[in-house]
This record gives sequence, C-alpha cells and structure tokens, in this order.
Amino acid sequence: MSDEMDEIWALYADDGAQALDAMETALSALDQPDCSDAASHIAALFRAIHTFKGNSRVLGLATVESRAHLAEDLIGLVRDQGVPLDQEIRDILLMTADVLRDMLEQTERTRADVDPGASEDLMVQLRDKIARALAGADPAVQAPPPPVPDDGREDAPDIPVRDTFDELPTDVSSVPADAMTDPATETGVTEGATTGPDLDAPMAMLRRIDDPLYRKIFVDMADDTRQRLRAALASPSDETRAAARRGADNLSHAARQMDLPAWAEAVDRFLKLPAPDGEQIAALLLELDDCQGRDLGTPQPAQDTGNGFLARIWPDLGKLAALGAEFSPETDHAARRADVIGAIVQRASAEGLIRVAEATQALLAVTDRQAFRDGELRLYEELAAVESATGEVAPDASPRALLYRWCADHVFESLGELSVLLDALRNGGAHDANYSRFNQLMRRIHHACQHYHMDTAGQLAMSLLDLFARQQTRGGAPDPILEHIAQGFISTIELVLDSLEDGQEVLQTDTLQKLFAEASSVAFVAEGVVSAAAIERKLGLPREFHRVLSPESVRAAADALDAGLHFHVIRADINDDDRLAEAFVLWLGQNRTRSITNVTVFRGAETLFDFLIATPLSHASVVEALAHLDPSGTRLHCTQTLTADQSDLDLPEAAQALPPVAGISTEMLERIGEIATGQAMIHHMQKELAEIDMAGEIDNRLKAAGVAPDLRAEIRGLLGGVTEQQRDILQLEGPLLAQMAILQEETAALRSRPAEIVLQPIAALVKAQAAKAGRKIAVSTLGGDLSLDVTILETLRNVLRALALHRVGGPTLPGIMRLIFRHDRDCVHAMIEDDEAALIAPEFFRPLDDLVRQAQGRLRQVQIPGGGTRLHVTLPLSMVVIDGMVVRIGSVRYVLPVNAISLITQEAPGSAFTISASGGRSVLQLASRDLVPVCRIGTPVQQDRIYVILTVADCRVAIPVDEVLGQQLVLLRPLRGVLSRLEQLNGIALLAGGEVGLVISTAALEGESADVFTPVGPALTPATALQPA
Amino acid sequence: MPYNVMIVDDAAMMRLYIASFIRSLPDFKVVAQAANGQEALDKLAGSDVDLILLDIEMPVMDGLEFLRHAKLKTRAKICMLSSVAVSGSPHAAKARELGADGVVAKPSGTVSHDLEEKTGDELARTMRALVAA
Repeated sequence: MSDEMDEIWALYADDGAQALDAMETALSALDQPDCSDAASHIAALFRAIHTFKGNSRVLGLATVESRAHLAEDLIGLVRDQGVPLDQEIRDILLMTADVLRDMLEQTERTRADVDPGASEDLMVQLRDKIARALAGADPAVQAPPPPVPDDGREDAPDIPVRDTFDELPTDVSSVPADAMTDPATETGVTEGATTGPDLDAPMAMLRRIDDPLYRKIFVDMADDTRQRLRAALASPSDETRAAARRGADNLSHAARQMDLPAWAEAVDRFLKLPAPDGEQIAALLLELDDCQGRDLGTPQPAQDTGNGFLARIWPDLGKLAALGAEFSPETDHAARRADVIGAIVQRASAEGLIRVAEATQALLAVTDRQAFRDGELRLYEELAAVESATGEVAPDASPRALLYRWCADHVFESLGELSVLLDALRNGGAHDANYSRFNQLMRRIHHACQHYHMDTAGQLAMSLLDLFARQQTRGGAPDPILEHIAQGFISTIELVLDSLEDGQEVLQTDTLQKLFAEASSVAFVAEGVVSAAAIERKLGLPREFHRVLSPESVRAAADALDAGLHFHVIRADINDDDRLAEAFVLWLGQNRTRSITNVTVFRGAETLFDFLIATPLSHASVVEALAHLDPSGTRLHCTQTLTADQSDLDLPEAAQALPPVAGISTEMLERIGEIATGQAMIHHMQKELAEIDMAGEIDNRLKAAGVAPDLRAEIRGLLGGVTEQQRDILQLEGPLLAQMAILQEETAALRSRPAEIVLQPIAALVKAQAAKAGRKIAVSTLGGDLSLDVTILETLRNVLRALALHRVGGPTLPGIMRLIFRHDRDCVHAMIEDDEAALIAPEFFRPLDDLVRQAQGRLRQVQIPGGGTRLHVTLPLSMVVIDGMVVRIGSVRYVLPVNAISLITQEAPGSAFTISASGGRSVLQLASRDLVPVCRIGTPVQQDRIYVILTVADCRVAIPVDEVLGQQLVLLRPLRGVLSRLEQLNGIALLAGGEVGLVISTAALEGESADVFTPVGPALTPATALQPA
Repeated sequence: MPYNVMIVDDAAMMRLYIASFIRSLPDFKVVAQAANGQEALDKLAGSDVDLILLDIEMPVMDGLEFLRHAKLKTRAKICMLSSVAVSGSPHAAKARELGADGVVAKPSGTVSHDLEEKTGDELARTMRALVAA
C-alpha cells in the first residue's frame, strides 16, 4: 500500500474519531438539564455525523456510510423539521456513536467495509424512529418512510442532463404582471397561487414525493438500485444479481409508499422474473430512467416552493432564463430583460443580498448570449451561496441543483478549455485574465463534481484552485509539479465522467485520492521538508496537532530533532491576560526554547492554546519555569512531554518517499518514445525516397528505349509533381519531428525531481541517528539541484540511505559526512564521503552491490589517503532523452553520446598498430601524430578506416566503426532480461530506422583497452530487446 | 485613502500581531476587530470595511460559517488567515469553495509571532491584489 493511501486511511481514522468525539460531546451537552444553546449543539451533532458519513463514502465503506446516513437523517429531522430531541433519540444516537466507533476501529484495521449484519439492530431502531418522528412531524404522513438501502451509495445519480437553465419555470403567462415588478408583493401574502403555498389545497394534493425529505430518501434509493443493477450488468454473478434484486425489492416497496405506481409496476415485473438476463436488467434501467424523468426530473410549479427569497424570485429567474435563451440586442428585448433584472435586483436589495443584486445588475451590461450565459452562471453561484447559507428548502427552486446540473452538462467543454489554458499559462500567458478564467473553470468543474457526488474530485478541484490562485499572487507561471497535478486531474476526471456516462464502475478513485494527497503536500515538497505526517508520527503528536503543521513548523521540528531537544505540550489559558501572555511569549524565545506550533482549544466560548515547544529543558525544568511565570498555577500547564520514536527513526524518510508522478508512467514515456521514433523512421524513409532522382533515372531508360521526346516530357512532368509533393511532405514533417522531440523531452522532464528531495532527508536522518547515539556529525550536501528521473532517485535513495545509516550505526561514528550527487554524460554518480577509515564489511556491502548491479550500476568503496572512506554509486541514466550518434559495427547499431565525441575521423589503412611494450595494446595514430588507445566494440569492423574518438574522464579512446549513420534524439530505456547483465551498455534505444541501438556506457570505457564486450548477435530486434524482463 | 481592514481572530495575541503588521502598511488601516464570526457579523453591519482577515478555527462561530454568511451581504474582500490553511490543504479548499477571495497560512500556529517575518510579504501581496481586483 502506498504512503499516500496510508496517509488517507490515517486521516480517515483521525477525522472519524474527531467527528465521533464531537458527536458525543454534543450529545452530552444536550443531555444537561440546563443546556442553553441546544441549536448550536444540534448543528454540531449534524456536522459531525455528516463529516463521518462523507469520509466513509470517500473510502467506499458503504455499510458504515449507510448507518451514518440514517443517523444524519434522524438528526436532520430534529434540526430542520422541529422533531423534539427526546431521550429515545439521544439514546439511539449514543448507540450509533458506539457502533460507528467500533466500525471505525475495524475499518482502520482491515481497510475494508464491515459486515452489515452486526449493526442490523441499529438500522431497525433508526428507521423506526425516523418513521415515527416523520409521522409526528407532518400530520399528512401516516406511514413509515421507505427503507433506506443497507449498503447504499449516493454517488452518480443518473438524472438526464439537459440545458438546465431552460428547465426553469418559463411560463411567463402564469405570473401576474404586477408580481414581476411590484415590490409590494414581496411578502408573499399577495402573490397568491404564483409563489406562496396554497393553504386551502386539498390534502390529497400533498403527495409524499413533494415532501423534500421523503423525496431525498426516495431519490437516494432509486440511485442505489440503479447502481446495483448496473453492477449486475457489468459483472454478472450470483452476488451482484442478489444485490440488485434486494435493491429492486426495497424500491418497489418504497414506490408504493410514495404513491408512484409506475415505478412499482416496472420493478415488480422485474422481480417476477426467475433469472433476469442482461437485456431484462437493461430494460428495467431504461424504465426507471423514464420514471425518474417523469416523476422526479420535472420542475414543480412555483407555488409549491415555499415563500423564501429563492421561491419568490423563482418565476423571475425563469423569465430571465427564457430571455437569455433567445438573447437579442434589440431594444425591445433589452427592455424586457431590464424589467426582469430590475425586479430581481429590487428583491435582492431588500434582503440585503448585495452580491446577488450586483450579479443580477451586471446582466444589464452584457451584449451577447455567451456573456449573458456567463453572467447567469455567476448569478446562480451567488444564489447557490444564499441557498447554502439560509438553508432555504425549496427542492424545485434550487439554484444550487440547477447550477450543478448545468456545469455537469458542460463539463467536457470546461475540461477542454482548462487544458488549453494550462498550456497558455505555461507558455508565457501567466497573466491575471488567464488565472481568473482558470479559477472560473475550476469552479465549474467543482460544481459538476458536486452534481455527481464526487466529493474527492470536487475537493481536489478547489485545492487546485487554491494552489493556482496563490501562484497568481506570487506571479509567474505555475511550477511543473503543479501543472502536472492539474493535467492529471483533468485526464482523470475525463475518464471518470466517461465511465459514469457509460454506466460503468468508476475505477479512478485511487488516482484522485493520490492527486489530492499530492496537491495537499505541494507546499511541503516545494519547501523541501519532510511531510507533516512524518513529524506527527515521529513525535506521536496528540490529535489536535494533526494536519496543522505548516512547512515552517515542520522544518522547526526537524531542526529541533536534529538538535536533540525535548518536546513538550503546554496548555496556556492566556487569551485574556496580556501580561502573562507577553511573559510566556518572551520565555518561549529564551534558552534555545522555541515554539514549533500551537493550536486553539475551546472551552465553551473561551479560547485556550496548546503550544508544542522544543527546548533543552527537561519536564521538571519546564514545570518549574511555568510556575515562575504563573505562580497561581492555573494558567500554564505542561500537559505532556513527548518522546521521539527512536526505534522508528526512518519513518520521516519513509514518509518522504518520492512524490508520485501522476499520469506519466514509464510505459507512457516509452510509448511516446516509440511514436517519436516511428515518426523519425517515416521521415528517414521519405528523405531517402526524395533523394532518388526518379525522374532522371526513368527518363534515361525511356530515352535508351527510344521513347518519343513528347511522351518522355509528359512522364517527366508527372514524376516532377510527385517529387515536389515528396519535398512538401518532408518540409511539413520537419516541424512535426521537432515537436515530437520536445514532447519527448518535456514528458521525461515531468518525471524528474531535484536530487535535493533525496539528499536532505538522508542528511536529516544521519544527524538524527548520530544525536540518538549522543554524538554530533556535520553533514553537508552537494548537487541537490541535479534533476533526475524518479525511478533513479528511488534506487539511489534506497542505497544511499542504507549506506549512510550503516556508517553512523557502527561503534565508531564519523564526525563529518558529505553527500554528493554528480551527473556525468550518461550516468549519475552519488558519493558518500566521511572521515571514518573502516570500510563496510562484505556481508553488508554485497546485497547493496547486488541491488545496484540490478540497476546496471556500480558500487565501490575506497579508502581516502589520510583517513576516511568514499562510497561511490554509479547508475546509468535511463528514461531520459539523449542526443546520440548512431554507428554500425558489423550488423549491430550502437549509440554513442554526442557530447562525449571529440572527433570522427577517417584514417589511412595501417594507422592503427599494436605497441608490444604496452602489453599488446592497440593504438591509433592520428594525422596530428597523437596516439589514442583503440577500443573495439563487438564484431571486428571490415576495415579500420573510420574512428569515433570519445573523451572519457579526460582520456581519449578511439572506436573503429563500419559506418556512421547519423545523429538523433533517442529515449534511453533500461536494459531488460538477458541484456541487463551487460555492464558495458547503458541501455537501449529504438532508432529511426526501426532497429534497436545499444547505448554504450562511456563510464564503462574508462580505462578499457581491449574489446569492451562480447558481440551481441545480429538477431537483436525491437521485439527481443524491448520485451519486458 | 487607506483601505479599511477588519481582523477576525479569537487569539488576542494574534490580533495584536496582525494589527501591528498592518500598521506597517501605509495603504491599510485596521478599523475593526472581532474575536469570533458572530461578533464579526454584528460589527460588519453598517461598517465600511474593504478587507476582512479571517481566522478559521474560532469558538461560537468559526471562520467558514462566517464566510458562508458574510459573503452574501458584504462587498468586502475576505482573506482567510489561518494556520490550517496550508496551500492546497482541505481547509484551504473548503474556504475557496465557500468563496474566500484569498487564503494565506499562518507560519507557526494559531498564534504566529513570526507572521511579519515569515509571511509578511505574501500577506501584503495578497491583500493588495484583493483590494485592487
């Protein structure tokens, strides 16, 4: 399991425990006979269970979520429907808290949903109480509510999406003309049948489906049943079919309760089928969709929507939508718009809703339909805020629902535009207008996610909005990591929405969660510090300190750990005592004591603080110091002394595992490389074709055959046209090739991270380990700005970490250590150098050596003259784009790094000869009389005529080749299978001609004088070379 | 004319630090302070505030709840200033969802004595960008 998932589960456990604590606190307060602020406690209760439910849903814990959902419904009745909070409800909710706490512990442990059977009693009690409460709350309701599905989910309602604003009531004729403009009608009393409830309506008219609570429960049930049916369609099994049948059975019962006979009939027909096949399941889904459109998708008349602000402006909004749909700049049309806008502005102003009034007023100035639509969206965002803040329940006058649906309907357009905008931001368009549009589009995508109940995706959209908005304030283009997360978000959401549209299971939840974790940790990565969670775990921080550590606090805590300071938590009741507050803050700055962070602790309406401090003082000394500051002993307490988890020292680094590279997998990069190579190959062939003088050749032959000059001229003309077209194609391909090369390089760059993210945590780890042993070590780093592929970094991290820890874990500790990264043409060198002379024992060294060899690297240790040891790790670069010179030796193609080539020369026969005094070493004498050692690769060349001279580690080496084929950009791929044992190779590359080239390791040529390696047979093809290990 | 700022933070010390920082900015002036969201809503009515610096975790009414209500009835720009509002964090995301115009994280906890030193530039830049928008 990834660290991100560990973190998400840890967050779930934290949040869940906090929510349940809050729930019990609220229930306990409500249990007091003198409870004076019941409303706020009930609100807190509702928030707590709502949070718990949402978190459970995010992790797919359907059973847990369903229990929390019912409890939320019950509290909702108390909060919104005036149901008294009697002892029975309090008892049921306490029992709910107990059951949920058990479930929380179990799910945290197993990371899977719980057995629904164990909480059946609770379900029965909750349902029963809701039914009785509803009956008591609304005399029109006599029967218990429909059962809520046991393992229901709320996501992805399949409401057909239409042009939502056009669904607003547009029947202008049904609204009295004066109601549109006469502010006197605002009370709702005189609006009659148009906007206010008809109190004389017969009871028979009040159907249960018109009750918002019943409606919500039923819609949830219908959605759940559809989900089950789709699951049975997608993965037919006894289990999915049984689940679908259970859902249908519940829905049938509920439909009868809700007086929706068409639903009941459709479902009952299905239930009578002994073993419904896929077609019959699909038929039921279609029927349910029809029912949904007919019974739930049609807006209710305005008179049913109550008399709140939203209900009162609803008819005007309908008229506005209709006018917007047929937008015209003509005076008459503008006048009608102005009338409606004026009416809404008046009502909004009367309510003090400034922003609604302004958003409406802004519509007066627009001059085209698109601008009107944008303005309308802004107005609906303001109205949705009103709905959210006032809690006005008007299910069919819900601007929020309309806004969400409109955004869902247009989400692909928004995603497309967002993608283009990201490019613009990167390519010099990082100005306010683009950032504002980014903000607007991200908000729309958030609304669309809300429509589909995709909470994590919605949160991620807002998280990205926040990150980009801060970037806008800082100025400049978003950094590549940020841009990369945004691009990953766009692609993932597109996949998710495609799945939803196709009625398929959404499989990208993990990706979204990872992206969210990545977005949340951007600040820490940017600051180059370990994650907050790592410090939380290391210090065993109390829960109130979870998720509040800023990057600055994390750095302060890491430094304090390095310095071997003690950590204490001090409860400070100083908010109303300036003198004590000042003295305490002063004390915090003395004697190397420092405040790492602090959080608020509420005691009723009072604010107290818990300070996490680091100090050289022991617990007793801190207590003594606090007593001096607060002689009364009532305001300052050292409540806890924390002990850093020494046995878990590597946790910070574990948490520092390299940030995920969302979206750009190795396979994807390879695929892009193949496309680029294919493109280069086509270009190569076209070029060869264009170089043939086809017209001249044919003309010569025709001439020789005695063909008449006029016919030859005609054929020459035709061939000339073809040649012209070939040249055009070549010209067009030129920029395409360049673009592909850029794409390859940029994609590879996206996988890169600075070496700093490996060096710094290891340095911190070494210092902490030394401190643990009561010693000090000076650690310095070099080369942190080197940018490397994450795969290489991960390998280096594992090896260096083990080596560094081993060096400081022995009986004698070095006092100085240097960690160095260096990049050398086609490989990366990492080095650990210290002042301890003892070499690492073979039994520890060997497994690490094996690990490095597996990555085609080399591990060496050498003693430094004068004392000290140097450990070298050399790894070949891979998944990078290199500029290579392709040469042929025998039938095999090799790639030599262009930046290592100092000369390509053709020498006279006999220029190479053997020097007996040098052990039979072969050398080449250049025209300049210089002697260069010859290094033969693979099959002997036919004639020693062409040499490529490479400069390696300040020495030159001459490689005889049969042919120099040309320079090209290639993606360096790691060696796999049998080839991985060839140390002299750095990797392989797919060449423009479709062949495979072996990329020579220049590091391996260092000091070589004979043939470098055994020839690789001519059977090497892309298929054999590129096959996975 | 300097822009009018309201500080909403339950920590008295933090209000002092913020006010002291704003005094160093010639283009801003503190005109009101409140210790929780409810108190801020009461003071907001009828006042002429251009910018609100708002903490999130407060008793009685927290910053997010205040934001939800205040956004309806004021033109003032609202900038969250909270220790839990680290870039891209769930709290920052929620604040943006509810319409926060700007979000800045306190550097070292709910009482950040080093606000000016560590976050002063970012806060000043954000405040200026918001009132200029």
